[in-house]
Amino acid sequence: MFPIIIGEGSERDPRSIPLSTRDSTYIPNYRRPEDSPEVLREAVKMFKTDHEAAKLRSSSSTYNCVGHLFAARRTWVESDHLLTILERDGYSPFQDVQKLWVGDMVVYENPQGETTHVAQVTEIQLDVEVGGRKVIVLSKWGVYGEYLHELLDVPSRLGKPKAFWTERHEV
Amino acid sequence: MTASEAMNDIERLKFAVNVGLANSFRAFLRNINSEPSVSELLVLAGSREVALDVLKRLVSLSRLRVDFRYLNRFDVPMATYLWVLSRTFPELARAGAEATADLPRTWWADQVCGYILGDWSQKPAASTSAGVTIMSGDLTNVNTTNVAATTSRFSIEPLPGFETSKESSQVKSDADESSEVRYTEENGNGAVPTYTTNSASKSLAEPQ
Repeated sequence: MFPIIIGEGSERDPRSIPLSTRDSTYIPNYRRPEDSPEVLREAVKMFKTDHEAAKLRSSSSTYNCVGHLFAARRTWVESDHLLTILERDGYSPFQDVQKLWVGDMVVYENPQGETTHVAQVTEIQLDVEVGGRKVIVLSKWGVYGEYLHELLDVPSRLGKPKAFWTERHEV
Repeated sequence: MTASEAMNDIERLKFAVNVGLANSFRAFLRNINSEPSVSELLVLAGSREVALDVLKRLVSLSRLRVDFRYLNRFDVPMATYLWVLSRTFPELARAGAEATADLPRTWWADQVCGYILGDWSQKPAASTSAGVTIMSGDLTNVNTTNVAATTSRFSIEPLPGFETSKESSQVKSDADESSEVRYTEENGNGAVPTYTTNSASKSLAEPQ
């Protein structure tokens, strides 16, 4: 269960929106104000230097990575809630990167073992140079832009891939 | 690095971008704690005189005009100053939080204020929440378990790094009104405020 909800972000907070998991558990959320264009531009500039290959899709600070994938970019959901959401939405974890497929989720963790980030696989490319696969994901980098990037190509503060989750059903 | 230099660094856009790489309040606190300028300021703010300067600067920032279309440009610096004060002089942190708690268009600062003022920390613990153990008051030693169950914005659990005052003493924020805020351009990256404070300013009211 989610912890007891007090104050901001609760169902009674007019700044939150109705948002629930598949089993109708309320997901605490909060609509964040937009950052000024100068802040967003600075972020784009800094990330372009450090992550040249990452492609910016959109730049807005009103939602985060969890809000992007589980609230259709409408609101901010703390990453601390991510694992609970995945479980209650019927996702199953797996570790084998070879089994990753389009639509699966990649959960990132920091060295302290805290969930820091989530991305969704958008493309699996053949990497002829190494004879392997290149996993391309779409994710929201903290307060800043939404980027299309390789699995490992994220700012270090967003952590490293720790587990993969899928809701695929085989028939 | 002097306290003034540290504060100027904290108010740069680059700092805001670096620490804004966070998808939770907990991650934000870790980010500010790992910034060199914050580490410097934490040490310097062990002195009450410097801590008072930090509080004055915080109050000065809180009085700047806000463009209501956007988040307060100084949301991150205000949150950082509150956090630094909470680690060094909790009573000053409380004064700062009371001065900034009702500011519009803030995000991180709003959350730090909420915590300092005890909106969540004084509530009874939820049985489903995992504990957060603070060892030596250092974020690098914080032991957190069950990330799905430990939350920040919505949790009543204590957060790492905070030294919140348990008393609900009323501290009047009475910072120096004559502090000056001036702006200089920083390589085209937007206005960066630099400050001078009046050394003959009124001292802050002491906590009861």
